[in-house]
Amino acid sequence: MSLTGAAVPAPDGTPSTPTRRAEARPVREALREVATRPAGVVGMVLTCIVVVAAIFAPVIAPHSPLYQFPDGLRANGSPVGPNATFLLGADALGRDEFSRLLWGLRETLAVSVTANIIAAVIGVAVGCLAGYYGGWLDAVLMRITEVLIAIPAILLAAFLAIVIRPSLATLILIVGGVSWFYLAKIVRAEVLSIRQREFVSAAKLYGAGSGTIIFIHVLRQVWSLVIVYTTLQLADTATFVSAMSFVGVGIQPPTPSLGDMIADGSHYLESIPRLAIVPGVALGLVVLGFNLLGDSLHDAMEKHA
Amino acid sequence: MVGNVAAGDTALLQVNDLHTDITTRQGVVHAVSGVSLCIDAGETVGLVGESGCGKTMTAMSLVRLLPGGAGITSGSIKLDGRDLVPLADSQIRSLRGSQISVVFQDPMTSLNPTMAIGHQISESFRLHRSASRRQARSRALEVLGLVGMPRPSERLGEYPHQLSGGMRQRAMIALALVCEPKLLIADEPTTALDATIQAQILELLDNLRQRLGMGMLLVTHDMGVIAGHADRVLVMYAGKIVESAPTEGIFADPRHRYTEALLKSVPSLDQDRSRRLSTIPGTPPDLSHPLRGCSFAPRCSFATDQCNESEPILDGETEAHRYACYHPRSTTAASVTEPASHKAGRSQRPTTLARESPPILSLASVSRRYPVGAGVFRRGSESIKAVSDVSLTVAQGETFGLVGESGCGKSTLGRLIVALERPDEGSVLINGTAFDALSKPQQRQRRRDVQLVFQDSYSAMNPKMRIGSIMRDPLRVQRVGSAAEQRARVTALLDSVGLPQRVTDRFPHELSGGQRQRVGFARALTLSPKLIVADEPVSALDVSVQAQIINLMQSLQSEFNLTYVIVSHDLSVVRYVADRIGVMYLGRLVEIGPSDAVYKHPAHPYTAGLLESIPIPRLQQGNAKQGSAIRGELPSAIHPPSGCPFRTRCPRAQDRCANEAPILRGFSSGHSAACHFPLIPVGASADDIGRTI
Amino acid sequence: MTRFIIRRLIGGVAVIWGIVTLVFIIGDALPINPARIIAGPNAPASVVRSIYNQLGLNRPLPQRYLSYLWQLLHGDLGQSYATNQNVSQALMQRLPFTLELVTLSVIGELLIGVSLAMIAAAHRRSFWDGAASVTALSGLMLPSFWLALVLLYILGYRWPIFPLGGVSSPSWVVLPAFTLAFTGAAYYTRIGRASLIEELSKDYVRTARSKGLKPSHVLYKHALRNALRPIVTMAGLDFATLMGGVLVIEQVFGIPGLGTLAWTAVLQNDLPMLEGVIIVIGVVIVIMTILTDFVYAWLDPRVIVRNTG
Repeated sequence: MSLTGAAVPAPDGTPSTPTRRAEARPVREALREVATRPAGVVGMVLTCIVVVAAIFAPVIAPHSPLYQFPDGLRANGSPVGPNATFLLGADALGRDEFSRLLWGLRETLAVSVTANIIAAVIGVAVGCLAGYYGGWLDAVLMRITEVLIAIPAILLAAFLAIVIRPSLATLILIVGGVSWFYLAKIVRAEVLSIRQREFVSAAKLYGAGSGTIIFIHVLRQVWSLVIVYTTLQLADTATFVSAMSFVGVGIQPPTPSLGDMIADGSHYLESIPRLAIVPGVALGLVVLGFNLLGDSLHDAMEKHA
Repeated sequence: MVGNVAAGDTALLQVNDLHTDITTRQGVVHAVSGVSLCIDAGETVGLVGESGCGKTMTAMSLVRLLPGGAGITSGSIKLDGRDLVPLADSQIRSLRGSQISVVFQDPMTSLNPTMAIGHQISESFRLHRSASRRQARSRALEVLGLVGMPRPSERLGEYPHQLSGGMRQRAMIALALVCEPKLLIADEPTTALDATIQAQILELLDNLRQRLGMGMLLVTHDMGVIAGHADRVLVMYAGKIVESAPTEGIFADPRHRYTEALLKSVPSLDQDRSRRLSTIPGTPPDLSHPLRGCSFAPRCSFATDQCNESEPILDGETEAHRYACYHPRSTTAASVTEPASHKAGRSQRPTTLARESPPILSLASVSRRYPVGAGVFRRGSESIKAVSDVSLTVAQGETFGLVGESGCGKSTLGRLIVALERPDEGSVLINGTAFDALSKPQQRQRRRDVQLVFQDSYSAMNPKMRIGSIMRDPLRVQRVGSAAEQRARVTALLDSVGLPQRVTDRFPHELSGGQRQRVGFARALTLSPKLIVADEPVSALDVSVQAQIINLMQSLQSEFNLTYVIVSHDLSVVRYVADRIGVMYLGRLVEIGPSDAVYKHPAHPYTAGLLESIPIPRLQQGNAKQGSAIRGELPSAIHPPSGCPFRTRCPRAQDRCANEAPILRGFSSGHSAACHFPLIPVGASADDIGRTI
Repeated sequence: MTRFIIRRLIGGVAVIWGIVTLVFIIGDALPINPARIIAGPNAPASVVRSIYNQLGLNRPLPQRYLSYLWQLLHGDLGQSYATNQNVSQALMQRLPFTLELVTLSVIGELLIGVSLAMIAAAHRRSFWDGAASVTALSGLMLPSFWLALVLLYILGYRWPIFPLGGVSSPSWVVLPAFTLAFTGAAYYTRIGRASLIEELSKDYVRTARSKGLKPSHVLYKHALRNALRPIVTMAGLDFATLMGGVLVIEQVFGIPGLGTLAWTAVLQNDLPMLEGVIIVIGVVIVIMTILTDFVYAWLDPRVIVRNTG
């Protein structure tokens, strides 16, 4: 008679739809959850617009971002304002601002995304190794991370940039190489706490080895954390890459980038403020989009943790 | 005392038809619906029920300390004749701490970790009595003395983490009593504490109530606590009071079927071990969709159509004893404490079993140390001996119970047995071989034979995996069978533990505590182990569910021919399930023997004290217990006392105990204890003692 | 307590040693020939070689490392390749500007961040919560160097309340410090709000309420102190990022601090100067981190016991 107590109740309104859902629920379900929040929707829409604009920049952009149009400049040498040909006007060299904006977005995002993937891989690897194995490996890795954290990333990147004159590829490596420290620390802390959790003990008890435990149990828990962190980090990296342009070690001209456009525009702040303000707004929207999306993802995943 | 139900107007606290709702996203939960109660000055009223029955919400409604979204919707709460419900928040605040105080469950989390004890205690005195800093300080000192805090003046500047659990609860009580309130609400005041400390705190609360003439509302899930310490009892179920009676009445003559069932499902120390525990089927109702009839009807075996259609009202033959039941237990029926439940599932096993079958598990002088404050500069300077020189054997098919207070090393010993940890000294042998003596593949094979069931099954399951995957994982890891065979095995085991197939699609958080514990057992069984170590398998569960799991454990034992080692702080549970028990104190095994012998004639004063401190859900002569309950607190495990570790708290301790560590000595068949001055003569058999007493 | 302080100081020295060594490793691995930079692009190979030897670059690696450490211990950071200036002197001239800006920015961002967090947490899910969150979010989305430009344009050029750059007027620090404080505060608001809300839901807060304390008293005297712990932890981790922001902002406002020194050094391949900036900034960050550890220990009495008991 005690077994009747086993009937699965549908307590307080949790939907008890017995539909088969994918095992990899966290990300997919979290995205669905994000779509129900206003901030999440705004973040998703902004991110989509930005990403589509970046990917299709070559198609959307009306002009070459590099060509210096003679009719982009007035007789006195000042650039023309927004008109039918130049939707956002021309820059100081007569290039089409709108096309440069799209291409700049594309380059900036390309660098941010690839650099973040590199950073995520390094961060997760270092964090997992240090957290799971502990001991001297943990001590060495964490001391190195602490030293690296104590140097502003932009100084470190500049330092590396003198060593390796930045091409796009080296720039990505440099940015990725200075962006993994915090993630490593966060992942390590998470792994340390997961390692203490009893389901890991339970897995050890039925004979699971380190590999099974790391890949099946630990990484599955860390995964959602990495997604959230990387989304938020994308916003920071876009700013970081732009700031690098500002101090002269970023994406090198003439390749258009948002940071370079802002830096260029800052020379004409008093005469043509739009040259600095417009790319800044674009960068701000990128940052806002990723932040809103990341935050909503975080909240959504927290709910299922 | 009996007359106070009628004496409504003169009562200290008079609650009438109180309703408290919680508004959530899913709807409105009627947490408290129509509760009436009264408390006289100097009286203790017990409010008892399982988790989610609304007892804490009722108590918190009195001081309006409700969670977000919750509020009183109707009813009256009269303190000294003044209704508190219409009062503004600021007026309620002026009553809190001065007229009505609360002692909360867990003193660790209920005290501010970053504020000195003295400040926390004096705060409300300064507020309500407009006292100066100095007056408040001397008052705090006075109250700390009152609650029996040793060296109170030193404690004023200390922080909660510097105190032990019992000391923290004393500080919490001091905090509540600093303004000498008229009414004290004690919300599960001892649930987070060890048995010996629990007894001390309950006695302290009793004394203070008498000295200060307070009324006290004692909220608890533990019938045993109620029995020893309440004058009257209110039993709550699904937001309503279902029975109200003087304490004698509840235990001697429970009328409501729920009360009856609740009392029956608690194993008592003299429970007939050959009988299955009776259980309450099902789970409590969803309070957001109230039932039309009696809320208990769906789980009640006496329910009729009448019960489902109309709600019984709280009434009874006398004013003092009232109940809301159409089919109350008749007064002439047999006493509840000897339930007429069916004999089943459990064969009487001879206690001599241990010596006849070969041991499946044997521990020889096992010790385990942990370094304290590990750091680069201080490695190995100090250590805690969590387990110290423990030897014992467990026979095939036996159930061995390991009891002791928190920090005694019983859980570490459990982890040593399943080889989650390795001993620093000594050996843990399963069927004669040590884990470390095996090759890697053999170790993996060994993992199949010995499994652990965790106290909190939820934390023992990967929250991102479905139950089906969780249960299959051991088979996958051990590469047992094809996918189809693995699934069939999972299906069969779910059946054995009484869970429906559809749980395989669920995530752990979607199951109830009892269901998760069933999954925990099912997963442990996937690899057909021979020995299962169960670490506090039922202590996180409600009484009625606890009984279900205990019964399940026993039927699984006979079905799968299991050997159990059960680690628990709950002596009643262990006494009921175990053939033999071992008692641990500060890492050492101080007494071991057949459970009946140990419980009836404990040899070690610690065992006796521990038994003494268990609150028994039965009426005792003279209400509160007196006698040899253990005084004081657990000593530091880093610097344990010399000689016998228990001597600092032992009533029989003499010089010899400090100088010479006692070794285990035999008393009767398989019963031995480590004590220089045992309570029963050495070499005597339990039967002899039984005759002489 | 002393033990706690000593352990923190030893840890700090170790990190500084690590920074110094890292700088040496990267500097030594450079494919740039410093002698060529000093001699100029047109100098004959023999001149370059003699400068190379003069700099001691022909010595074996361990010897170079040890003499590098030895000079560092004496405060000698070498000569600038570009201007032949003494690096230590150049750094000391620039340091005060950077320190002033950093200090004011940290204070500013904590004040703004914690105040917004308290407003949001105390009035949860109300208009004020939303307003505080939106303010924080706007700080988060605006790149600091861009906000700096906009502020310069509006408050320096259109309505010239503040100087358009440089440090000639005593009010030079207002705009850059505000820029950094405002953009940095967002994180503190976010963490602080979450942390306060968590603390307010804890049992000890219920205990405090059960004493009859006012909600504001419960917030300030009980919850805030506990909620500050993650904020302080965050501040300790965040100094390097903040420093990075300071260095970039200096460039925008034309402040003659360590940042402008560094960026000039980058353009000129002036290795000793850049190394000097990294080491000095590293030391500043380590000191600030140790200070936050002490603040944390003061906030949470459990720390010291855990670390020394």
